[in-house]
Amino acid sequence: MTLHVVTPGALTTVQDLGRQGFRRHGIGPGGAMDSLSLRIANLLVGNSHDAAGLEFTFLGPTLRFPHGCWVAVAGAAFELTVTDGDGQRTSVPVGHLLWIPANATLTCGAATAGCRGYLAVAGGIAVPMVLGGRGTDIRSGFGGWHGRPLRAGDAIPCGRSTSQTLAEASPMTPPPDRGRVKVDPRSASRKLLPRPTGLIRLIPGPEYDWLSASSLQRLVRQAFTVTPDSDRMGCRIAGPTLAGIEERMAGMVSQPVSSGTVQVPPSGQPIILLADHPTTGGYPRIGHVASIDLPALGQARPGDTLQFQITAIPEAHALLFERESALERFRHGLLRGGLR
Amino acid sequence: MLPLAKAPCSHDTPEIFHGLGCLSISVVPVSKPRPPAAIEPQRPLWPPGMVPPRPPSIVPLGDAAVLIRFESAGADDRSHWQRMAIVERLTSDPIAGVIDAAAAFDSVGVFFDPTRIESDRLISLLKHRLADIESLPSPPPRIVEIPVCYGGDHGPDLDAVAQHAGIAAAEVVRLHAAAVHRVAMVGFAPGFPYLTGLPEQLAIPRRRSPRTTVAAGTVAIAGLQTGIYPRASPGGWNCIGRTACLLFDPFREPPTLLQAGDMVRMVPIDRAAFEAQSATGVAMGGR
Repeated sequence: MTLHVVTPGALTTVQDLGRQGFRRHGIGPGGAMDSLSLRIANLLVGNSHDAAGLEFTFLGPTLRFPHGCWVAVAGAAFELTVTDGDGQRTSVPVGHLLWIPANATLTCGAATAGCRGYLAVAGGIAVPMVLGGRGTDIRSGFGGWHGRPLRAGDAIPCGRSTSQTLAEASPMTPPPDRGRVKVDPRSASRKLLPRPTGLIRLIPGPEYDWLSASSLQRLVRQAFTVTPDSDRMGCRIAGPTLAGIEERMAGMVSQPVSSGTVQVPPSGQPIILLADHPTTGGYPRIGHVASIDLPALGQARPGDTLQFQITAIPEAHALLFERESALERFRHGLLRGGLR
Repeated sequence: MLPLAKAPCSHDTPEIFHGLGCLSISVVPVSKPRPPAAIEPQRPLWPPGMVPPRPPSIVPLGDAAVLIRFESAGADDRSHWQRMAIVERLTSDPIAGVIDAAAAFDSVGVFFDPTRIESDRLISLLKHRLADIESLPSPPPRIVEIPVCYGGDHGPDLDAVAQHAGIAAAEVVRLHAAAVHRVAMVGFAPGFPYLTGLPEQLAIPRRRSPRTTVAAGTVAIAGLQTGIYPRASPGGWNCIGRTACLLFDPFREPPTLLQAGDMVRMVPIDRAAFEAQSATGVAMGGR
């Protein structure tokens, strides 16, 4: 089975939950910026949560499906339209299981809130596994679809690349009227989705106390604004200048960093490292965004404001466990529901 | 697929790997290596069983990673080997819930899934492993030779480096090639080695304005380090030469030519040799 790229949108890549185990070779995790939305889309179509899907940014792709299939789009608020073979257009919602009839096209439009959408196809995007992942490393040019963003004319293989958890309970058979678009009533509850609150929980990092006392106050009392030069590598934010690091930076050597590491370069304007971050960094690591809040950062748009809140690790873990339980309940709910 | 780059730890004598071996199947490790005096196997700094003055400390790196800091020993050989050894142990004998580990200059990052292992338990397991490593002798490092075409288009900053050091360009090449460099870590980009061991005479700050494009394989220096760019990218280091070796290939096992802990010697080659190796490499790489 394939899906055909009619228009690629602004930046559309194959992504999964990232690579692990290759940091010692300088290869970072990569993967979906909003991993929670990809997992939800996967669960909706009956995939294992870590299957590969498409990540698109601001302006989504238009895709043609030569064969009918189940898909789901989750993440940012994209305007989705299905145009069937007869040219009839139907608006369909984000966050639902959808049946796309053969020869129909799905147009993902523009994001009105958030910035990244995730399309999961029953069976997953079937690109080869490279270094433990199917995601695209754009900067190094490997993984995903030929190591690059999708282009018009690409025919992306899909289906049968992942175990289908739903299929164990009831096979993902086409709906009775397979020639028509179907919106399945089951959807992800709003509570599950990353909320664009702008509240970012921060765990102090190894160089946290390098900041001056007044900078430490500014860090949590004032808001920061996401700047337009943010990308998959990092979210750059502007706000009060954080000072105190310059004199101690001289002896600093490159250190391990992770997704969510908040670095402060000499400019005093922080950079939050995200999925495509380098494995090491030479700037002071004043803190790390709690894992629970990383998906929301993956949806941050330029101009959005962020407010840091210092959080202890046990609290960050408790929030993470709560969300994982909610996802597990969601998965079980889908299994019980079977296919309608 | 290519059989060359193997973990070096279990060998009794240093093996010499030609960097070019990764471009050509026919090149095999030299059977009778003659390690120069400067890189003889390192002895432990303290007798087996004895505890060093300050053990490594373990601090959180967010809620899904911890950082092992080797504060006391700095960049000496013993602590260097310990960093490699803990990463190697976590790879060969994984702790359930640990998903990745990587060494940097004076620390090791250990990444875990908080839903699979508690951080307190992880820290305690890591402390045990660090204690186990204390008593092990450091094995000899692997030695990799990298053919480098110095100067000209391939090393546009060679003259500037010579001028900065107040010596002739040929002397810069001689010093750089005579030095034994060590891969302190692989980071920044896939396969990018941070090499320590640059002769102090050649120490030089980064370029005032970074180049927008540095060719893949470029050998560049900054501070007391040498780096080799695995792929064309912007870069602020001083470019003194270029190798035809493929530093990163996602379809090779391991994917990077150099591993942290390797010793590296640069072998000066002329332009014609570079072109020939480059052509073979493209043919061999098939991509």
